[in-house]
Amino acid sequence: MKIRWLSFFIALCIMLGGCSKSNDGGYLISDIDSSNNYLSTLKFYLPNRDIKKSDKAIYQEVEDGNVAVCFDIQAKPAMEQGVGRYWYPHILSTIVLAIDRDQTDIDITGWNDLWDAQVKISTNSNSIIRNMMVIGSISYGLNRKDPSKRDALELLEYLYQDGRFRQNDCDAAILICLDHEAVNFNRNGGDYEIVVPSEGTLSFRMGLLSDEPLTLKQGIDDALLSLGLPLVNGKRPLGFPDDYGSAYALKEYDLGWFFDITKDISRDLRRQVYHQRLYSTADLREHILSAIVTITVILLWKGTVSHRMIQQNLRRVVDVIVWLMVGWLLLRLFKYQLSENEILSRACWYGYYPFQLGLPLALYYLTVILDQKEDKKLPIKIMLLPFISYITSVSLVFTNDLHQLVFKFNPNGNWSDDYSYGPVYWMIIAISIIFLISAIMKMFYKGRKGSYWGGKIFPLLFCIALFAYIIAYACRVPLAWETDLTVFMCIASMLFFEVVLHTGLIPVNIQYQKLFKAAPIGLILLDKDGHTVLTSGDASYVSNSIWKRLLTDMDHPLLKDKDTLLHAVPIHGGMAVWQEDLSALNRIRQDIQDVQLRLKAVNSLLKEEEEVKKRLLIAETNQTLFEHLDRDMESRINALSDLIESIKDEEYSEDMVAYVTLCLCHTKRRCNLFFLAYQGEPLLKDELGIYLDELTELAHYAGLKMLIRCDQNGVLEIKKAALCYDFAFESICQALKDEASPLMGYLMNDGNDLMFRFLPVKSPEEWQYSEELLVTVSMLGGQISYKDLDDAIGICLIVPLGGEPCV
Amino acid sequence: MINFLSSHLEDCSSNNYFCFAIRCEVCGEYWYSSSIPFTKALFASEYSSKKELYEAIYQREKERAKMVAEKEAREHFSLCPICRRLVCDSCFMICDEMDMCKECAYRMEEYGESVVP
Repeated sequence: MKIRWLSFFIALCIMLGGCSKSNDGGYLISDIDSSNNYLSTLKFYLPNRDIKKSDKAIYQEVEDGNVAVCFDIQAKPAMEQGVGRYWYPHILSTIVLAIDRDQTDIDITGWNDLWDAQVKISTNSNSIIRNMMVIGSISYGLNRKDPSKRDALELLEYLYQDGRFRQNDCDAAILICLDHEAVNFNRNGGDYEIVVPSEGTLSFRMGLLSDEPLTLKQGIDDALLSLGLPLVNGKRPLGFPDDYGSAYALKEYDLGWFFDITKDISRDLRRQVYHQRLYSTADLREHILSAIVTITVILLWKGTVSHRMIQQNLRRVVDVIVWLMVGWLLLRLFKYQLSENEILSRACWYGYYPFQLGLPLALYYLTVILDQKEDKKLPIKIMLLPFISYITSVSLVFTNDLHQLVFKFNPNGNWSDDYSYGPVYWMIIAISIIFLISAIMKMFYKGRKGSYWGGKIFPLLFCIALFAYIIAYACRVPLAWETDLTVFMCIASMLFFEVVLHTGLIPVNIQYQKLFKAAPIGLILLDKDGHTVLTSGDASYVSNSIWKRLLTDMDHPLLKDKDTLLHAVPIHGGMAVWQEDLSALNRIRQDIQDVQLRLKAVNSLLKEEEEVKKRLLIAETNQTLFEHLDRDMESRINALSDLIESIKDEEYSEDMVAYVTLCLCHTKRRCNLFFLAYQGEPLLKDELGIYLDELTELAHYAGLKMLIRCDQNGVLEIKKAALCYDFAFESICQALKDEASPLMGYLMNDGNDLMFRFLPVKSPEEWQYSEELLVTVSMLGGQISYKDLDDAIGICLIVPLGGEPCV
Repeated sequence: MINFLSSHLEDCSSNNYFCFAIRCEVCGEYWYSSSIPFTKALFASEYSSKKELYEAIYQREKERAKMVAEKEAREHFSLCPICRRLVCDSCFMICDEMDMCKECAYRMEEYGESVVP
């Protein structure tokens, strides 16, 4: 769509350009310095060619097949460049001083006399060629050996600053002109003394430059002489000075130094003589260069702004502003190449306005979207009125030729210089200013919360300066008027924008780079093509393959390497990739795995140690146990062994065997009790009763009739059970020894005591209990007592059931 | 080489696409193949009754995607002739005598340039 409109615009330009008068290659082209007499002569000798004032460069005219009247300093360089193959010189023009004797009678002989001549001095033309000829002649005159334009410029500067020199003023008392022009003044009633400067001056050949050979009739020299024109062969008619000895006709080899001293003459005259344009562009070359430099700077600036602005809609508007400025400058550059009075040139002039008027509109739009979210769509009506105003303004400018309401000029005249502004122009400018002021006001309003005081002051000062410049330019104040409005406006717009960006009225991301650099997290912003836009200091590069994978699936994080996990989230214009550092986690996991391995190893070692210790402990325990058992049973076994050994064969009886069995039974049960004691388990009283019944039964076999009644339930501490068992055994043994059958035994609880009583038929007072039993009774806090029961004496073991045993 | 690459490919596929990764044995960074969408992903999620059918198609497409990934990986990975490790182009050096991984090049004091600087 855009290309279609651009094509349409170019076609329109070409069409308008084609509206100019056609060139059939049959013209005789004259410029402002051509002699009328010479032209009239040529008209006669070149009857097929109409005379036409040049509206473009004569080189272009010659290329178009026309014949151009020019000087040798124009023709020779053109021929060197292949423009114009044929050069016909006819007139020898010399730069002279023409002194109007009606105004002054001072004596002037050469250039140096001008220093003190207190009269007005002027040239009679301000064309570039004429300026070159004058400066070249003065330079040659003031220093013939080594001509320098500095001498000429100093002379003219002195005269100008003294108020005596000007350009293109034919009323001046002294004219610096061509000799045949001065002669012509005299022929027309003037009274000019023609002075060939005694210090020296230059003569230039005037003639015809053509791309094709010309056939001129015979007698042209005579015709020229008759019209008062000097010939290239030195012949001059009456009225010319007699002595041209100081005049030097430039040869082809002189052109080098001549162009060296006369190049950039317009700029030098402006700056060194008139002291104008000291700080702005002074000639076409500088205009073009400044425009190119400005375009370059603007494009570079665009690059920096694009880099600083992350918000894409703002960036887009800035891009539009930049391209408006660049377009404006480029169009201006294009216009420099055109002749001023062409219609295409006028189209270019009108073409400035879409760019110029677009700038405030774009700025206004920027301020409208300034605080809007990036993806928010604005209602059309907000920009409808400004856009319609813009379109209307541009349309009015482009149709100016029809209504002349914007610019007033004569389309067939010198419209490029001679024009005025119509009412619509001021209306258009007022609309633009309204947009500009609205944009600035909006900007200030939206940035009112900013704490930086400079944020309001600097843009305001800048605006004031800008408006002051515009007013000064409109009033044609030299300082403003001499500047290039386009370049100035573009640079000013750029600077204004930069000030606004720096003061924070338009949010930019100037500090984002620093923020990202300083951020401890690994965060990368990638654009839609996977290029890194911003990256934090700790973030590592995201390769293309990873970016593609993230683009496919942002929901699932992926590993960049074993220590880096990448998470991605879509953002406007790309994605944000956050790098999670897994190195600490991996290290911890590795540590845990190491610890697990170590623990497993330690565990197996401990297990092995435990088993060894267990085996050792079992062995030790067994040893201790058996040592204790041996110690505990040793006396009994020994006593029993002694008893058995002491028994003689003849004493062998059933009772004795029963007694031995009783002893063995006691030893066996004591062993049981011993082990039970080590197990720490109590003994059921029923089981004790069984043990006691067993003793009773064996005692019966040994000849002791006895009965032990055990009426207890529950459990009994093993030591006390063993004590009761030992007490019962020893009591049975004593009863057997005393033949105290029958024997009654009774085991019962007596309050908090355990009471075990025996009632033998004989007095038990003589019974001897072993030392070991008595010690055990004492240790357990018990006692053995006798009780007199009138007809019998009982023996009683009393052991407290609770409490700590007495050590 | 293909078989060697195949053994190093790690499956990173999901239900919707196929993707494979290879880890450079020098720098440790993963390279991911271009994701290839599963053509029946939408149907597979909708028609659970044909789960077995879509599972078979999935496996068939996955095999194809793996072959494509292997070919693609071949453009980015090389086998170091010295240490026989699979290294990415950033870690693979073009040396005067023989191309090798940068660790081997450093060890043997061979000078060269990375395939991808």
